[in-house]
Amino acid sequence: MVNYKIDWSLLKLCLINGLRNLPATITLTLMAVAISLCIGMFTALARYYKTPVISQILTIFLTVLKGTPVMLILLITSLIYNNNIGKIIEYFNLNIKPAEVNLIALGVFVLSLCLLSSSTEAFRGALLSIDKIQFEAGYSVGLTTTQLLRKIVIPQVIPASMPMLMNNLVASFKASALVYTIGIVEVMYGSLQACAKYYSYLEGYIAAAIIFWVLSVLMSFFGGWASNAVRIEKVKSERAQGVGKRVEPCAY
Amino acid sequence: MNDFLSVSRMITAFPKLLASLSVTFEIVAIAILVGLFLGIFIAIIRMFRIPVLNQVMTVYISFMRGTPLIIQLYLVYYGLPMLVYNLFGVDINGWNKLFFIITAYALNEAAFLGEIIRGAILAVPELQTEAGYSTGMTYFQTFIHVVFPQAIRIAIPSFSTDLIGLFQGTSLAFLLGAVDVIGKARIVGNNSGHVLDTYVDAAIIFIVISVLLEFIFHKIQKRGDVVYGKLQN
Repeated sequence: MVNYKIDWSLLKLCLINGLRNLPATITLTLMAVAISLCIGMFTALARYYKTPVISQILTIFLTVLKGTPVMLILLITSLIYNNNIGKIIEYFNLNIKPAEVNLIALGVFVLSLCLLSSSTEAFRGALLSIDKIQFEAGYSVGLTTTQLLRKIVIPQVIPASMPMLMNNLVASFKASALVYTIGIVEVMYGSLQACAKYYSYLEGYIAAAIIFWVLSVLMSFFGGWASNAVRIEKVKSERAQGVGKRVEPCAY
Repeated sequence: MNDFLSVSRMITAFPKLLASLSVTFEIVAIAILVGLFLGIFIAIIRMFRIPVLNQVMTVYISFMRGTPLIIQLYLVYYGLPMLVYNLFGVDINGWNKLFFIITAYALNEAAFLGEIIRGAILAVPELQTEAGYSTGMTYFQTFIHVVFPQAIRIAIPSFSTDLIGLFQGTSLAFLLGAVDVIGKARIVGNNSGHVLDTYVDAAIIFIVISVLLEFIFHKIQKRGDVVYGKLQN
């Protein structure tokens, strides 16, 4: 017979235990966003300039990434990881056991893979929204392409793509709840751990929901503020969203 | 290493996974229909700013947007029986798991579709409604003949992203024990001892269907643009 009452003291315990693991979730989220931004800028540039072979490979790669649910990427990656980690440790003669490896790196890898296609599209849309005249003006004063990108294009790309990037941040935060399934200790894992010994899981999920809800609301407020703070032209960021394909960040 | 991933095993397992695609489609279809139905109500409540309900819906949408889908699934799975038992005294704990899964996805979709519908209707310029009134149409006629056809065109891109998102979101249903594509992949994989093959199969299925859906919606959108363009000229 299932217990049909919420145990408030257990809920509190779950909340505390969940919050204790918040740093891991934040690490996962921010690292994934940062990595996907760094790589996404290059992939977007490659696709913008239609670099011969690389651009086609990237298009296929990003389509495949976009089409695969996060959960499947997570399952496949963790399988490959578990199969090979022993060999890798043996190869490098590391003095650790496979169980001692910190799995957070794996989580960051998966999450940044999932965010890659949406951040690429965000940057590509922003790049396309910049007038050709800006490029011509840059070249006419003798800037090289690298200088042009660094001094003229990218300072405009970042504000224009800001709303979509902030969307990515929240999506990454939400998707980070999935990694508990491969045993990474974060908010979900922490709150469930506290109630698992009482076989009363609802409190754990409520606690996790509260933590995630409060933080995502805060994050979207921050996102709105940040997009406003760096905005140069409203038109440009709207155009950026219109030009780039609408990619749901991290569909899972 | 060669034995880790084999194409022949992938090919033998593929039809078995395709057979369970129907469960995935069932979840998607029912969730989107129920979600659309509830979403229309949410959109009406939010557009007419019906007191109390409007605030409740704002909180509901914020919750659905702000928490991970996986938590919502488990909240429905564990929370709904408790809620129903405390309200009506009926024990629904033993019901089919698919019921709880579909309910969770439908509730989630309702929030997102409600916002999509509201956004699309509000995106139609006010001038169009006024033009409708000026020709003597009633509010309802204006909505059906003037606003609604334009709103649908605006809603199609977001609706397609939402549908593809829901389709990929069903990848979580196996956590509650549904035998959808991924659940089947786990079963077949565990029986043969090679889970990776079946997971890659499942990934291929998801990729192909996502690309297909995107292509179809792209066509629909293009066609809508053409028709609309003709009307404008």
